[in-house]
Amino acid sequence: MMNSDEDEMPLNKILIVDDEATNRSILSAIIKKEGYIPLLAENGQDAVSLFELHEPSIVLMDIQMPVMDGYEATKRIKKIAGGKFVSVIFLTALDSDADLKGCREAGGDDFLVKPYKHEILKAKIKMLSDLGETHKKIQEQKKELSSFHQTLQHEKEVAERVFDNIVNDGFSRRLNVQGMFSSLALFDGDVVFAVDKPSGGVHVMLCDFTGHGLSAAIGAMPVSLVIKSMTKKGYSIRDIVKELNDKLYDLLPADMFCAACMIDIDPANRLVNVWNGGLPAQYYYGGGHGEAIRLESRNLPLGVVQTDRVDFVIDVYPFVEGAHLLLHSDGVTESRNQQGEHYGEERIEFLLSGTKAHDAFCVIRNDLEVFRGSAEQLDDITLTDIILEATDFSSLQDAYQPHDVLNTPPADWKVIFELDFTTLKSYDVVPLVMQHVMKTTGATGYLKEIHLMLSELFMNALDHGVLSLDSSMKSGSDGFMEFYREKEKRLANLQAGNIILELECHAAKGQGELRLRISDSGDGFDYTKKMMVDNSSSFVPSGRGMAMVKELCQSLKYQGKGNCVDAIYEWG
Amino acid sequence: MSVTYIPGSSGEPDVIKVSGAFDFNMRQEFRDAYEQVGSDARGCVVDFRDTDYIDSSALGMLLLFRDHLGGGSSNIELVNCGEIISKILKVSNFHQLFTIAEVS
Repeated sequence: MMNSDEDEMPLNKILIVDDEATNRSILSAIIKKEGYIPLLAENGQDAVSLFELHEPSIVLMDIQMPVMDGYEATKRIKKIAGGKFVSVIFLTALDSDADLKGCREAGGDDFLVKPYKHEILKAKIKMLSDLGETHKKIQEQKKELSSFHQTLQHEKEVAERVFDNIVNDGFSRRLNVQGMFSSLALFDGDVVFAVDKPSGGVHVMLCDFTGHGLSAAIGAMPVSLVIKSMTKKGYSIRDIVKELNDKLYDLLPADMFCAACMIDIDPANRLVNVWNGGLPAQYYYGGGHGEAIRLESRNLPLGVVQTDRVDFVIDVYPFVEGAHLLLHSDGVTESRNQQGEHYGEERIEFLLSGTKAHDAFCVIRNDLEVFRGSAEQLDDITLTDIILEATDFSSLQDAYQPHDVLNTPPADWKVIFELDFTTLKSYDVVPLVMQHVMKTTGATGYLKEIHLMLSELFMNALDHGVLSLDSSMKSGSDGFMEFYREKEKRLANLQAGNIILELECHAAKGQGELRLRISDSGDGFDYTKKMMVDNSSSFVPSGRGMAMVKELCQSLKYQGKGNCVDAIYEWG
Repeated sequence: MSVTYIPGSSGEPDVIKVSGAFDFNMRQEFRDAYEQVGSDARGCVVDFRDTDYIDSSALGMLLLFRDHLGGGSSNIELVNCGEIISKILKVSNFHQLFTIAEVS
């Protein structure tokens, strides 16, 4: 704080009001000796004028004076002072009860009966002067605090808007989502995202940061940005979860982390991929399998250990159109009623088993509200339900937002990727290729089809070529899970093999052609049978994906012994 | 005291006992306790026999403790974990970071 006003210090001025010149000069002498500056007034009216001018903090006031008496002058001075500190000491020869009452009513702070000892007067002045100092300091702090509060309030509002823009990006407005969100603080420790994938389908993620409010929300911002940008570029949830773990491990202090569940809803491949780290089991239900499937936490929460020190376990389930995902944070299962009992997951499972899938969300939400009653909320609560929808390619908004390709020049290029088994184990090449296609072809509006063609054919080469997995393994939901477990295993133990991906582009003025050749080191297959697969069957995931690719491409031909495929895609 | 530090004698590891609800309010006490465990200690036991409940900030405190003892090279054993505590530790997959023993 600045202290430059020491010089004019109204605290050091004392106003003396007395109609007798002798009294004034005696008081004036005492005050000067004590280090104060005396201001002299002959009557009440002069006193008020001098007060207005100099704002002294102490007034020594006589009562009986011509023009205006001490009572009236005191009333006016107190009124003028408003909230500012001023002490009025009455100096009077009158000492009846009525006089004292008059002093008090006028707003006097103290009084001395004449004749008084000088020492007592000095002591009173000293005390009131100290009080004035204290009062002044408090006033300054109050002012400081209030301006600090205003700044904070303003910053909070700005931050809330930014947070909203970044994090709450219209999740609950999606048609296939219903949700209940209830947070403890202004900023939510629970956050839910849904981001459309370029090849159709959606990445959904529920995050629960340790703590509530601002400290929790800080972590949500980078998470949001990473999920959105990586999903739009076509990265898999494994890559995204790894990146998030890296970011949060670097950003968050050791005792803060993020329990999360990320789900890849992939209608093109008829898959639901689930990574759960530290959240209670989530539920996949209404898919005609009877009981709800528990999507268990099989990973550490995000941000706890370094990415290279930990496995990322992803469970794979079949995609069933119209089935539901019920996502909830531990704020739901740990909600307490007024008796202090937990809501618990048994209760959710009981309701899921006894209710039609269509109604389950509403039933659970209402049940939770009735259970909690008016009990105090202890944690952020998130409960949301997502209905799995098939991808309708004609209505899908283009998830790619290539701002920089509007004026793409004609493109003629060819790239070849030779990926050996060590690369295949750890690296997903499709997003990289898609970045290139996006930036150079000008095929805006066709990118999701190109992505689908690329990822489908590449996955076929990997699964059935290099890893020699048989897609007939996938029949039935047990076999289906078995297939993906086996895939993980074979990929981890892979000791040989490669995939060569060649992509050739000829494009100009919004038209173009992509020629893709993918060959693998596998044994190939009898492609005369493969291409006749039944399109409508939802039990043959690979068949479904291939059927879509065939639909999209101008030409799709297997070569040689079936370990090489040529596809041509045209647009414009 | 709801957090008690018992120094290990003759080759036995130090023990930290937590009683009551292990949550944010215990932050300072738990920290005071684990800072007495030398960062060169071979290991430490956290005893949950008298702990009613742990929340996510308690998990955070365990992570801080783990960091204090050298992160990946630390050796912390969580013992006498009751049903609820075991469940919370399991959901968070903390067995990847700590040795966990249920109530004996």
